[in-house]
Amino acid sequence: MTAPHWPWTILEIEPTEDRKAIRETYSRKLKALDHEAETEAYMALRDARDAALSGQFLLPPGDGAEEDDFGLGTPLPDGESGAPRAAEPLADPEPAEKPVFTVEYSDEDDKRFNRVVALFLGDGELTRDESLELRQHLDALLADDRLGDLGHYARVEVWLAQLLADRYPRGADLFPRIAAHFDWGQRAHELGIHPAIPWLFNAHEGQSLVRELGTPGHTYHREWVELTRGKPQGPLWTRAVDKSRMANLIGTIRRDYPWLEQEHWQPELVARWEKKVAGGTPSGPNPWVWLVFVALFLSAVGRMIGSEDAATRSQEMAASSLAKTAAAEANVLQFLQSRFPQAAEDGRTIVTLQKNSPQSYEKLAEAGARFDAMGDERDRLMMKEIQEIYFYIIDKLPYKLQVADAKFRAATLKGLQGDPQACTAFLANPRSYLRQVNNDAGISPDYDYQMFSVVHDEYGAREWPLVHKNFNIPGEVVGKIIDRSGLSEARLRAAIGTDTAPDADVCIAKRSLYEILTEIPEAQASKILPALM
Amino acid sequence: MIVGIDLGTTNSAAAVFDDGEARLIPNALGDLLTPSAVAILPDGTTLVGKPALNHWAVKPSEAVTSFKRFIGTNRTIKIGRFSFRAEDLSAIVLRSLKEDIEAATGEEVTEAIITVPAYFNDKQRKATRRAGELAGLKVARLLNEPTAAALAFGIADREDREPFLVFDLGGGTFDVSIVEMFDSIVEVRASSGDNRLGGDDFTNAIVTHWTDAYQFPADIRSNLLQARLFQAADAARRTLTDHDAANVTLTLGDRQFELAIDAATFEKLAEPLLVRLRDPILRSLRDSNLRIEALSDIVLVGGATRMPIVRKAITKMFGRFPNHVVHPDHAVAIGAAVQAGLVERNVALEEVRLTDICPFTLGVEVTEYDSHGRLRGGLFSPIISRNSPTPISRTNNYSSMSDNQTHIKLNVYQGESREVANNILLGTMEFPIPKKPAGHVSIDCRFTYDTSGLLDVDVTIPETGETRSMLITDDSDALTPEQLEARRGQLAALKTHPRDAAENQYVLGWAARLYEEFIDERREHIGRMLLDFEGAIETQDPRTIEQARTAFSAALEELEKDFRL
Repeated sequence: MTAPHWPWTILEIEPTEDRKAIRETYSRKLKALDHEAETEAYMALRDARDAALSGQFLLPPGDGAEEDDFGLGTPLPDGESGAPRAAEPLADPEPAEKPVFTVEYSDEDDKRFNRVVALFLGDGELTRDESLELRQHLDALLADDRLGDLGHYARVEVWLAQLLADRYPRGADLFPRIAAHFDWGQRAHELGIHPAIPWLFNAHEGQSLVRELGTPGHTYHREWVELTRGKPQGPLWTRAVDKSRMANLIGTIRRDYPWLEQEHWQPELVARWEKKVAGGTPSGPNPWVWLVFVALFLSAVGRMIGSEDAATRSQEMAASSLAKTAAAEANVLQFLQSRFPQAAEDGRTIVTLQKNSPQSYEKLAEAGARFDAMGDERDRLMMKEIQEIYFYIIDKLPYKLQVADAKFRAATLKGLQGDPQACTAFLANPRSYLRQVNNDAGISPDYDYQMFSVVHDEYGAREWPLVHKNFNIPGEVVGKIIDRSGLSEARLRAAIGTDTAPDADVCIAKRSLYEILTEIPEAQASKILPALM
Repeated sequence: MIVGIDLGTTNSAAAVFDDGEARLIPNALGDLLTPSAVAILPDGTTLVGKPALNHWAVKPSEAVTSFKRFIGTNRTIKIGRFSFRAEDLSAIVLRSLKEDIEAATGEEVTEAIITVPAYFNDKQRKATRRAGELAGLKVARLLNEPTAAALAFGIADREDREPFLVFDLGGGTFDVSIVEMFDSIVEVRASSGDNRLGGDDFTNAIVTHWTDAYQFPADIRSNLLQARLFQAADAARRTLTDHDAANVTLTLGDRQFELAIDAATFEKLAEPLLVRLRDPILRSLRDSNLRIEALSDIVLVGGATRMPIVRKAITKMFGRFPNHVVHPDHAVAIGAAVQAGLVERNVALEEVRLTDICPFTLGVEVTEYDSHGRLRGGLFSPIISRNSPTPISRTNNYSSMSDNQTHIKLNVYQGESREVANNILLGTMEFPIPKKPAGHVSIDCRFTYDTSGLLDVDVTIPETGETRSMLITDDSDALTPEQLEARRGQLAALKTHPRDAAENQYVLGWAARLYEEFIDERREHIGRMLLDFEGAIETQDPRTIEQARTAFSAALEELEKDFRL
């Protein structure tokens, strides 16, 4: 027999797994003392009982029988067992009778659970079809009446958290919806739900930030690209990276989103920029600009001297770069002519585009250059560039253009009515929606032309500030929406104000709102618009 | 003698433990429940219970109900020209209950067990204890309401029980406790709750619905309208317990309004409230490491659990029907009386022990350096974590932050958030420390949480050997013993009716309320009877008064029965 050790020394019994014996001893000892007065003795007794019941102290310490298990969260099953299970932290230490699940799962449920797991288990990003299917399953799961059963609720909640955490970033787009449904924002500190939830919030925030930084026009876009790809975009003279902005970007990411540095930045680029920012080279245009100037100067000198070699060479160079730009220009021209025949009449030609908005011309040329062989694919890609720019700037544009947009948007939504999921996806973020889909899904040629005109006219070389969004719909407008959409007020409020309303409601509510925006007085609409865009 | 008192938001009850069992004590009107309502007439006459409720319907500015919601806050409640804090009003109710017990048992009541919602914080608990002291009672212990209910449930047959869940939805608060019973030891494993959710919120949902749905004339005084609407809504809510729809006639002056609500609408209105029931339950289950399937029983306590929509929600949440063994309105007072018996070491309870827990985390505010060397203030450092068994005493060590620091300010918080801004500040104390380089002065901070749920904080500076007991001071707590005495004197100066007159007073108030509720002939009829009864009281002949009162009550009851909702 080994020498007695804690907690058995307090309980004064032999180490045992017999729960009843432990509890009886505890009961006897508790009744022997005045637990309300003898605080220390009671605390010691209680701790000893809990330790004894845990079954982890059967052997004296140092025998190496127990390994501390710090592993949080259990790994996902290998796809074959998909039904939601209660997570380990919920497990009852009692030697379990079989848990009685009050909600019974049908074959159809099992199929759905397995399908969701299978979708999460795939590789890479979710494709559009997968994403839509997953959304459908999620809708069905969350709208399920049985979610009123707490056992079922807890199991589904933990299961989804586990899937999101284990398969991140796959399915990360679903996070906001799930988090809103289970109100994780309020309960994030309750690690008991799932230890990964606070982490998921951080990851989601980081992901949104990366998306914004990756969009041309963002104040820090150039700096971000410099650190991630090291391939600055735009004409040579605009490539200069602002050092103070760069310092700010590096500092902010390091402080608030350190993991983004590992995921996205190239270490050697970061190291180089850190050195520069710390005060090495003076700021100004990219040093390559100077090299080019020097080269031009030399070639000019060479020509002045009359060296034939130099002259030929420089002519060749000029010719090849001319060919390149000429090909790109031809691409853009072709695109404009085939896609927007009406543009020329409105005075929007390739020449005016180059003049008004060199940035968008560059983007179009670049997109076109990648696909000069394939007409349709090329046009589609160039159109996407326009859409991308358009939806980036639309909320910063003059009010009149936004109203025009509302009209087109309402029409688009009407077209998407049969497909509520696509409809809400478009509403939530037109940019990413259009980036994902393969066809132009309901975007009319008129809308495309509107986008092009706006980009042509407005996307000059100015900086685009972020817009503060403040959402407040006046009562009379609400009344009008109710009349038009046929929704009750409660449903309407849910559709506009929350993330959890059914897709179909959101769709019809927002469509009505866009329609109404074009009809009400300017002053009123101008207050609502910025928040909607 | 020690008594058990359930001081509720809507109703209060008192019970004693003798002859081996707990029993409820009826009040002067013979009812086991006394509404937690107080009315103060302009001359300082005080009404408690049903008479106060009647008065409230007539002159809402001279009476209050549901004041338990404001206990532990600085809010003053104005009644006519008097102003009170919630604890003063609670004291008035407690005093009336004390008198009832003394009249029924003939013994002097010196000590009391008073129940509080488990999720009451330190401030609310201290205020409740002060209320007891103001009523002239020594508060032997504050007992958590769901724990009291569990005690009443467990003591009924004293059998071993696997963990069961006590679901306590009262007039103003919601508590959940998970309790286990083994060998006559009642052990609370976890508690959680929402101290701003109760039956009143359901009533208010109806009131809001009506004020949206009906146009009330603007010339009606708004607080009168609110009071009458609340009462009508409360009545409608009760009607919905066993009817599909409720129609209420609201009489204001000589105008009448027909108000209606049906069960389906009510269910929709209650939806957001029902959702709030979920989180505390899940949290307590997680804290006690239990699956929902492992619960052996769901015990319902609190009047609001009678509502069919609540029952339905519970059945749906747990996938089974709740237990009906204990009386939802009486269980808490019975449990308090059992606890009184335990404190008295009653022989009938020799084997019984009750162990409770602290339902929330307690700790202090700290400042830390993050990995970049920056100061990060406003963080919460827990000392006693939630669901620790009570009584408990824990110590943590903290050290000074800057060179030559002369003082340490200790902010004590309750809550679960990492940032103290989201937690509840319980108190502050500042004390001098020896001047030393940063980090060289350390203090030991000891938190002691007793069985009443009250917190004591002691700070020791090992360097000097100095110990300070923290009197948690904040504005609402700043009552010295003299002030307490003075306040007690003021409350005592309020006139109460002699007990034998209480019934007359009640019938008069009842008649006055009905007078307002009816119009035309019935109103005239009540007015005439009222005049007669007042005449009978004038005679001061007990027999005449009693006869008149019996007849009058019967007539009033008849009238009301015809128009009962």
